[in-house]
Amino acid sequence: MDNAQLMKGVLEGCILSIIARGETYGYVILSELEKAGFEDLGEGTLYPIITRLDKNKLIACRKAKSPLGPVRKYYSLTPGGQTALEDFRNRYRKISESAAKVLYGE
Amino acid sequence: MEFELMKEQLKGEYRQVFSEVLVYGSMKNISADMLTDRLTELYDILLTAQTEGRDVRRITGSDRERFCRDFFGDFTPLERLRELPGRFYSFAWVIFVMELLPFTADAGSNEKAVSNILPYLFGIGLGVVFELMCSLVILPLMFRNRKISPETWNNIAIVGFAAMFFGMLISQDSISAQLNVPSLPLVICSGAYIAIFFTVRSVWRYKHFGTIRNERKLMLKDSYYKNLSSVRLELIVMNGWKKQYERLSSRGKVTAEGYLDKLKSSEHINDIVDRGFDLFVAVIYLASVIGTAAASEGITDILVFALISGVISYFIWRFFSKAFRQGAGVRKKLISQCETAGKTMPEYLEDRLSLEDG
Repeated sequence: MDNAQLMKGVLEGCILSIIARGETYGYVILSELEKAGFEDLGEGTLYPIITRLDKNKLIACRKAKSPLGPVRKYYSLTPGGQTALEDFRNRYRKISESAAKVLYGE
Repeated sequence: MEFELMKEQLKGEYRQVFSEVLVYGSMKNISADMLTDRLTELYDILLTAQTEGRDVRRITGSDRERFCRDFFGDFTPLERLRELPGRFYSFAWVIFVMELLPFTADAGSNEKAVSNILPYLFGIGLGVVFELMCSLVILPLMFRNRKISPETWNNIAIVGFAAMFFGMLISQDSISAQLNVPSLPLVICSGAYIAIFFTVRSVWRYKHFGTIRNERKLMLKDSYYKNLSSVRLELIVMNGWKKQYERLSSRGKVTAEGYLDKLKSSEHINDIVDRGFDLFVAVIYLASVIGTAAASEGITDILVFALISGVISYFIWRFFSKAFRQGAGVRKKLISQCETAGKTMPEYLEDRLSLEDG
């Protein structure tokens, strides 16, 4: 199985979920994912996913100054993103329940 | 230029990562808009990580080459294809200018002029070879050999390109083959392409960004990035003044109290030189146009010369004038700050430079 593809799909949902908590930016998203246990992830994996979410209009992007001065992109969820997040949560729950039954006999 | 200034704000590994991504993006020919977008985002993240003392590997992972590949992972072959019209636009300008000049000079007398397009095809080939050389040789070496800085690898690539370019120019003399096409359609087609591309791009930019100007340039005009340039210039000026003061005072030519006045009078002279430069450029331009008008019989030749030399003179004037104004602005600001602080200039410089070092 292609781990990268599976990971990207899961990450998309997780990123949407982090952004759903309130307007945020790349560094915080990365930190939140790391705190949750996604180690050695890096901005290299994260950024193309964020760009894809933006292109698909699931998130909105606003540019503003960061406290340190440079321009920072702040992301927020769009109504389409909210729907996609709900959809992802439902699909993920269903798949993980089915997989758990097979893998662990739950 | 702004990327270089941004790089200077980062230290150690943070700076190394930024340099590597910059060189990777440039050598992979990532579009300017995407490169700016990614690098400004990365800069913010690296600067935040540096301030918080967070390990850079937690941002890039342990494999930097993979990081760069993933970071620009959505610059797919389809994206590359979308960039092609923009690349042709630059290329169309080269053809238009190169073909228009001799064509205009021969206008009326040589309506069936032909152009050899073989050099243009060689130019495209050179671009492809250079891109392959960067992707297959230089970039892998850069990630494997950390002892040599990314900037040095970039310089190696530039030298390689220059060598190939001059090799191509020299070898062309020995190639007798020519691929001639009529000049007029070449000029018309390249001119039409430039006009169409420019119009479509302007409409697209206006629709997406509310302006026809380059979004990248607009973003980099943000006060933060502009200030980076000013801060660097201030440092250069302050260090220069410090050395000048030390040299003059060691010869007994100036006192600490008198140095500020000396700088103020130098600034008056600089203002006069600045205005003199504007006049100098205008006089040289007018003299060259009048000289051409006196020697030439055709009004078309005179107008073409006046137009081309006018454009060239304007850009030269603008470049130097901007640099003069920027320098003068920084010097006047430092003088004014020193007066407000109520210190002698050497004291003021010492305080400011020790703050910068700290």
